[in-house]
Amino acid sequence: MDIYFKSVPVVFLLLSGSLAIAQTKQDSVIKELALKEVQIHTSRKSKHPRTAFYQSSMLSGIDDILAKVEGLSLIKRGPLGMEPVLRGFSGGQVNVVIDGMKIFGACTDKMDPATIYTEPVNLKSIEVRNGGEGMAMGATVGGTLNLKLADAVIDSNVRLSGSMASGYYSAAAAVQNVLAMNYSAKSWAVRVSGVYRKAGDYKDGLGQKIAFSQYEKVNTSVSGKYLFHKNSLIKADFLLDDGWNIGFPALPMDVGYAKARIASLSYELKEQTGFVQEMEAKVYANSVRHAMDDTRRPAVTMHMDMPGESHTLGAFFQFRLKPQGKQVWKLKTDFYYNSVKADMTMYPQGAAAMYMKTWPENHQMVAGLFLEDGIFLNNESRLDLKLRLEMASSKLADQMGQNQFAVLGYDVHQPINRVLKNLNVSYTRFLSPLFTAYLSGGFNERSPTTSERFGFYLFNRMDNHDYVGNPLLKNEQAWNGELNLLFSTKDLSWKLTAFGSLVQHYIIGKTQSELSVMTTGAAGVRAYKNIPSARLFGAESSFNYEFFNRHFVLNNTWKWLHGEDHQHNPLPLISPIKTITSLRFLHRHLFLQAENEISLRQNQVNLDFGEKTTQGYTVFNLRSGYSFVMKRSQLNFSAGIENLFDKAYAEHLDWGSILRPGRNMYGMLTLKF
Amino acid sequence: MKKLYTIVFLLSIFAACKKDSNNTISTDPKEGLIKISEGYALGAATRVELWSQTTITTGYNQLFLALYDSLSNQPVTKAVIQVLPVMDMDMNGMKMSHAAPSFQPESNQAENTLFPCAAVFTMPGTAGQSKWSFKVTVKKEGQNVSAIVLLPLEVKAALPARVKMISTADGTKLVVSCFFPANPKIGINEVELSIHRQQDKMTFLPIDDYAVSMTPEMPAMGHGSPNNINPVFTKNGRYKGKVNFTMSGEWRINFGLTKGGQNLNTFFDLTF
Repeated sequence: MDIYFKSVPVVFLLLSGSLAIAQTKQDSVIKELALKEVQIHTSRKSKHPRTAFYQSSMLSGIDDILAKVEGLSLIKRGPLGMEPVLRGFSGGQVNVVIDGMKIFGACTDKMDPATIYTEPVNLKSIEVRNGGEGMAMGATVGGTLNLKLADAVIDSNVRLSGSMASGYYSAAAAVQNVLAMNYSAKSWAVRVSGVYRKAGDYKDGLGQKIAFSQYEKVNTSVSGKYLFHKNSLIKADFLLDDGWNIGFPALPMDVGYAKARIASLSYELKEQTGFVQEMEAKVYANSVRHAMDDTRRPAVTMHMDMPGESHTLGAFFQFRLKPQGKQVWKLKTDFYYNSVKADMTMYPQGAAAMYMKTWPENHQMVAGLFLEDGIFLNNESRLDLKLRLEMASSKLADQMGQNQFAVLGYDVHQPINRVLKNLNVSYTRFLSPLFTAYLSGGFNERSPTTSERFGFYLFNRMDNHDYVGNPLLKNEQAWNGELNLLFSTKDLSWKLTAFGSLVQHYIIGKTQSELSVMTTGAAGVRAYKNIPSARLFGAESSFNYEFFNRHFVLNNTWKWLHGEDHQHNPLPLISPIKTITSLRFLHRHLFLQAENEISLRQNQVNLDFGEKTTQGYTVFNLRSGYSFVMKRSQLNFSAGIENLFDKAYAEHLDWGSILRPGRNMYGMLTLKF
Repeated sequence: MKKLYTIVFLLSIFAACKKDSNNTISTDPKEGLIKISEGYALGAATRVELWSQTTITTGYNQLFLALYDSLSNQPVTKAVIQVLPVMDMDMNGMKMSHAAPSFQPESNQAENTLFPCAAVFTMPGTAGQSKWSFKVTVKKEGQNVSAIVLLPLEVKAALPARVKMISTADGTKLVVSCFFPANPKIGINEVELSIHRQQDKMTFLPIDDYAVSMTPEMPAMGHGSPNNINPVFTKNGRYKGKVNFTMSGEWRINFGLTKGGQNLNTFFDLTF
């Protein structure tokens, strides 16, 4: 009897202990399955085995890194500011945030997706979540891309650390200089980083210069951290990004300037023993100014000024509660206010200037409530429920814009108010120590974007049509589902994914024969409409193998996607099958890496959207690096050749099928201290 | 008690002031108008004043007549009035006259002491060789005889043109004028057209049976605007519609006038 009573708490302790261990293990596996987090190394080397695959060199821009992520493609219109596409979802269908902060581009022609305003040097990682998995950061149908900012590191042993890098690219005669520094005291630290990049027109695989593919930009960021005590801290971030003279060879105009100012202040509380175990509160503000420029283009019949701006203010508050039995609750409430506007002034020769609002001032106010319940069913399985409710209000605030829409027959005096519902359920099953299955599905909604609602004769070069907004658009709704299988041992991991989405009220431009074009030479006018449905499905594979005493790392990814509308016509901007393989050899301070990228032909094209069949291609890259380790610092030299065989190629999502850079040799020197 | 009186006194002043200011606003019908000309209608003992919202230019002009008893200087609010713009030209000693389309006051009762009327001046005329005058025929209430006054006025050329003279296939001469709101804006704008047929030099008759089509365009870009409402006949040769401007700048509004299978085309330009 006595023994029995004594053993109960012991057994209980043992059980709860193993439960906790299993739970942590589950958490890490689920993290691997439910999201792709691309670690980025800047001053400190990332220990993640795949970082070198995604970020092939310290010169890699955000777009270079994103291009390697399975399930992610990029719409290319110019050398910078490529638009991310997640499993066929792009634009307003995906939610691109910076450290959880909402930021909206200020360009009516999508020249500035939020990704353009960050640089790898000020990022810690890029988090990719498909479907509604990332709904905590905002209602979305297609997925979430969170660019996590690098923060200052408090380490009293290393007072000053950092890195400096300088590199040169041959194809565009480009230079890049990077600096990142961290200063740490006992309870506070400051991190400063900066990049300067300048590129000329690049040469394609045919040896021809692509006119208007130049760019220049500066990015600086400051991040400070102060530790109140071990588990509570306050953090401030400020990021300044200035780009200018950015060429867009696939568009009739370039970018005169693109400027972003991003600031945030957050308070974090960790490892608390009470009811609230973790807490984060953040307030933020950002401002984006953008202007297109045609003054460098030859034979411009009419000069146009097209500036735009976007300002966002927001806050969120999230916390994790003390586990209640088998359940772990997370709560988040967030709010943001955004105002965007853009206009156009045209200067015809010998006539009065013409003016209109391309984006009449749109004020959006969004408040969201997010709830997550992680239910630890048993040692083999676990269920995660996510729910988000969002109240979204959009109001056209300027009289001229209201009058412009009256011309189109819309009364837009009243705000458009919507409730967005997002729900996701995922189930993880640990089939064996090596196999894990992850099943996830949900219902997601998103609001139409400013262009889709209130865009006024925005010219789309791809299909040569003017686009007008439609204030009566319904929310786009998607039923998303995916199945993941993960096989992992100590040295090998292989993830297979199958996914599908049924999108209702899919938003796409449809020709309006009763409207006449505004842009000279345009083929017609399209208005955004909800078509009954569209389907997207596909598969991905990601393979990672370390062998020969970890001297070799083999990475391989595959992606396949199919998209069609309700009449089985192919959706536009769908990437063909693509596979990327990299083999990396590491020995002491030397590394060698060979990469191969194969893209198949895409003939599932949307002719209406101006798409053409794109030929397949194979591209090889070689990279190498060597480190000289000194007493307190390290000097790295790396060099490589991209597009080794000088292949003339374009990806399917490259607008205007403008050829990509030809053979490109680069060299870079990095000093780490 | 003294205090109370003071308060009452002050209050009464305030009340009086308020009333006064209200009255002045509502009783000055000519506020914002420009006096163009004046003269005496001899035989009717009436002083006639011509007022306008803007300076007079070629095309349609909204005008106001104010009549005063020349003895008492009191406004005359009831009178039968007829107006006619007359152009006198002296071409090297050869004298010629012609009239222009006009719109008579609709009532013989003044609206707030003013008689609204309108005229479509077909050419500029200042001093010297070509002079416009506004011929007003007045018959005051209770009088049997009409008196005439010729009010001289200056008409400047409107740029761009607001009036066009066009000829039909059978040789009929039409005077078409187009009038926009004073401040055209991006969005939906009222547009009005008047069409008169010249019967003889001194007679212009309103035409009410044209089918009017309207197509705005921006000549610099070659595009138009959607959802315009074609002008339709309202009264007295006037046609009312809605023109849409999608941006500011130079616009040309093309009109097609159709009657009995015959088409006429004209246009009016507008810059804002």
